[in-house]
Amino acid sequence: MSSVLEPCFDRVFTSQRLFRLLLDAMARPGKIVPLPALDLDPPQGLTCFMAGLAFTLLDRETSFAVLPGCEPWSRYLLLNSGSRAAAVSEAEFIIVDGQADLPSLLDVRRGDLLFPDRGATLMIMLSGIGAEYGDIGLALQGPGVFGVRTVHLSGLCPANLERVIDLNREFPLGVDLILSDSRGALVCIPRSSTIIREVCR
Amino acid sequence: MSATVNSAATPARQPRGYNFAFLDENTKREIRRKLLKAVAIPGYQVPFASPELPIARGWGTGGLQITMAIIGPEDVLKVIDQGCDGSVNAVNIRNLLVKTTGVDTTFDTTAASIVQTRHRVPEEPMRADQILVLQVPIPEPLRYVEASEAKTREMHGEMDYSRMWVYLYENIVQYGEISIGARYPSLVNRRYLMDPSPIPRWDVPKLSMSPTLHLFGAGREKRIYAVPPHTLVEPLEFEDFRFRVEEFSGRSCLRCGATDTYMNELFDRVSGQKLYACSDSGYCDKRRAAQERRAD
Repeated sequence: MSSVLEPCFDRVFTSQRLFRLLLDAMARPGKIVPLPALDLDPPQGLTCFMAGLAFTLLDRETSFAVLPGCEPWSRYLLLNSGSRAAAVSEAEFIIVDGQADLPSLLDVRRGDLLFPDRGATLMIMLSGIGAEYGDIGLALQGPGVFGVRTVHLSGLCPANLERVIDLNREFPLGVDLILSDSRGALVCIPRSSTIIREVCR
Repeated sequence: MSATVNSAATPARQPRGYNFAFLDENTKREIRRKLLKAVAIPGYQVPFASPELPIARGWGTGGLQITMAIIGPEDVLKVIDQGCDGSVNAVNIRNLLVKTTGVDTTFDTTAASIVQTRHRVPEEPMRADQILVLQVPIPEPLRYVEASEAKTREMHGEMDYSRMWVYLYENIVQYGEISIGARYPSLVNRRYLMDPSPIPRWDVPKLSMSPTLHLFGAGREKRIYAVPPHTLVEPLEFEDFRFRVEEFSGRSCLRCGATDTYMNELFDRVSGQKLYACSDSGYCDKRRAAQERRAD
């Protein structure tokens, strides 16, 4: 098994840099933001990029959920961030592979009308983000988008997309998506975006 | 993809007795998580911890904490107070940030990557690669009509802004004018009513559909909210009583001669005259420098 502790991750400057990229991506839904390469050694299935984003956001005040079968991720994230693993219905961050069909997504927190910010953040790993990937084309509209912005994704189970659209049907309740692929492309889709499925090849 | 960044190859590592940007990393992470939620729900006030700082609450600690949570060694910072780079609040906040981060600063809006401001939006249009951080004293626009935080939160949840409309209507009936100047209540993304901070009415339209990300921090009241780029910000108005900005027709800046900027009124005790000068001192200086170059 890989070395589990990541003493080399610079929690001050790398976190800051990753956060600015996240903020840019969240403020401009559908914009593809390239992440810098990270020298991390996460367990099988978790990408360096997602691990870096998780270290940027998670700490002992937060909770996260991974799917059954991904327990090594939990251990790795707990050791390196101090964040607790929790049930999907409780966690603030849900870290998953988009390919797997995830019926439990419907249980995640959407916040309430008094505190919609308590809705969860879904951190989803995809196989590809960008024009050359054609499985799913999403046309996005809303704050942060000038007109319409289209983003192409692959490696997202269509049923999961339907679940996300369903979770976000009642703005301001909903979840916010942080998507990244294995090459370090980052895209965010906040709940304020209207998602229109455009192409399905 | 660029080279690996996470081995301590990053600059600005000289010991200064504080963490980079003063705040500890746990505090920054909390603010960062809240900022993402604020951006995802435009205009909604996200509660945050707002710990003590070396500047008293109510003196820009909300904006300061946001800047500290987002700033990096490569940023170029501009800090203004009522449009001026040189007034006391701006100078103190700038000094604290420079001391704890070592970043470069500028008076030129176009050269900055982060602009922290109290009570003004710069005159020069800002770009997509810049962030405007606004200091907020009272984040709740419904405080005019409702004292209870629990009630105003409910009103936002239900998008029940009827009492605000009645307040504006009663203003018009009583005074023939809406008496709110700065802090003009505005609807964000057709959902949340927002206090745009005490910027003059002049600046409110600049927030709407702008390419820039606007982050609002209220340190004393412990709230963060945001207006993302390309987001509709509509000042409340009636069909037969439209929103108006401040009127400066026939007046010009005594320093640069501008007629198209937001101006401060000055009183000349000797002549007894009212004089006007640009509130955005950086922009005014820039225009004067350009005029001097032309005159040479």
